Amino acid sequence: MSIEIGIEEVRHMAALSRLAVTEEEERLFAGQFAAIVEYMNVLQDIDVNGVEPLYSPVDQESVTRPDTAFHARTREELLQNAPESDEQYFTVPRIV
Amino acid sequence: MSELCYASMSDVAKRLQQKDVSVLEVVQSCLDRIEKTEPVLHALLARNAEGAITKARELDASGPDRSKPLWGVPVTIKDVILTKGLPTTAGSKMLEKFSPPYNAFVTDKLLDAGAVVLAKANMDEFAMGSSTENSAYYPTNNPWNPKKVPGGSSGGSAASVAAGQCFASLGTDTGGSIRQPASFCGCVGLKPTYGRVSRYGVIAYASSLDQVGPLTRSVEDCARVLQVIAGHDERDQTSSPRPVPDYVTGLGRRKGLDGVRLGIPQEFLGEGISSEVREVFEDVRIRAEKEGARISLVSLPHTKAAIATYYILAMAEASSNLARYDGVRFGFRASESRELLDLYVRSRSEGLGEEVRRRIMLGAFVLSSGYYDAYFKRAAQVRRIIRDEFTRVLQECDALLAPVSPVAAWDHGSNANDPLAQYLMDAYTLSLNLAGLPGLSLPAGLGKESGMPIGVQLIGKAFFEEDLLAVGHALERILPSIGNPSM
Repeated sequence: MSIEIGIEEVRHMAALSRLAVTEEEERLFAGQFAAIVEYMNVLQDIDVNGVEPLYSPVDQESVTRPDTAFHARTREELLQNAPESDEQYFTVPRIV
Repeated sequence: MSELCYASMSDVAKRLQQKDVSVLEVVQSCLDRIEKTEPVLHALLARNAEGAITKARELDASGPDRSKPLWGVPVTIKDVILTKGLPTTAGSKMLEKFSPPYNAFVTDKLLDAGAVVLAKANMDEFAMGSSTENSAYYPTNNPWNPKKVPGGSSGGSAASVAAGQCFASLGTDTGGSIRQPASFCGCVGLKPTYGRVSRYGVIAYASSLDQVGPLTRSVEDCARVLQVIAGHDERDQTSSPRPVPDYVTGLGRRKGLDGVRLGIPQEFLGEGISSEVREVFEDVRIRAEKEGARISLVSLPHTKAAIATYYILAMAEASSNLARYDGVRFGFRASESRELLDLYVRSRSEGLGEEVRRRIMLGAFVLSSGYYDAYFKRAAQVRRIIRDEFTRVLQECDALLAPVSPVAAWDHGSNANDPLAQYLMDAYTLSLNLAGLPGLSLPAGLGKESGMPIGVQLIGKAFFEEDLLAVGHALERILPSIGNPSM
């Protein structure tokens, strides 16, 4: 698979990531990303036919527990790191 | 230099239990050492001098407790691990004011064992880097030569242990972040098997690769810290329920290296390795062979694909994990955002550093529609091939013996603006994170050209830390002592 990484691709990646990039960064990242993605293309030559993907080194068995409610933290603890709150809820700019 | 702060942790723990020395004396000697070395090192972020002195007085008043193996022992903790009451920033502006509402599993384990936390250790932002130059606060310097980096991402932990600021530190290792700084600073570092130590309360970078482990000045100290932090935790779904063996007693299970089968992966000695690292490694091989180790060359043919595999998976997981930093519930919020999307974008763009943003964007790319199969899925397939190769060679060997890094610690600023060049430096450490295996880095000598510490690593079978540490303990005894940095 071959892909050219340019300014447009960097803008797309930034949008997907909810990040803003300056014009200077667009140029910097385009050059760096092109080199990195080119390097990653080493995987395209490996025969992976029939190989099951390995997403975790441990056998992922879903561990279940009884669905019972408990108070892990107080409201105060959960709000203590909020950049803005009204003491009851996290607050954000008006959305409607 | 106070001799006390360079004693081994095992020795100090014993002397504390015997009341041969008070907790306050030990803590004070480390705090003095911190005062003396920090202006040069910058190994630490939040410091806890007052809290540590108060705790020392309390412990001295109540007296030694034999059930607590780290009773009175001063430690530092990498700043990616949550510590209630001590700010935890992960080296990022994003979490500059973050005050954890709870302790990580490993923090609780250290405190329950009687350890005294002196400070949080500096690191590359969100553990992304190999030099600690990506810290949003300041870079850490190498205690052997401040012009050099300490390695990373647990560079603050390694520098603080090597400089005698503490007796042990906890780091995290996603692609080498414990073993490589341990090698660069001349200390011992262990990345345990994935699942051996709970990740609960550890700020996530790449969840299928991250693992917490100790940095110490000896293999025995390392075994004692692992003993405390290993074990099952139901709050981490990947935490293993396997029983934890007695690692300290286990150190005696190998009577030297006689008959120990060590495999050297030939792909780790190819192009890119510096002559001084090759020399130190060759010296280790000869010494081990002389002691009766049975050494053979083994092959891990897909090693050349490991760097690409690792970075694709790590970046993908990072882009997903770091989506939580949106300026709403915790962390930095950009001022004067008028609507929600603008708040997300500006908070993330202003709060996250360049390398972190780079990895998030590349991670989003390899997961995106049209590229998912070619990059993310394919990398996960190659990951299985790499793991199976390790499993196969480890059937014929007790452990693998390999260099930790192709080079010794480099000068600050060497790889600025060339992220790929820096990624390539992780070639020898990251493949075992892909496979989930344990790796132990120990100091093996000083480089002839750089004069800097150079380490070797032993790679073991999954959940066989007991034997890995025993082999490491035997190897440690026949390696030349590099001493302590003169600062």
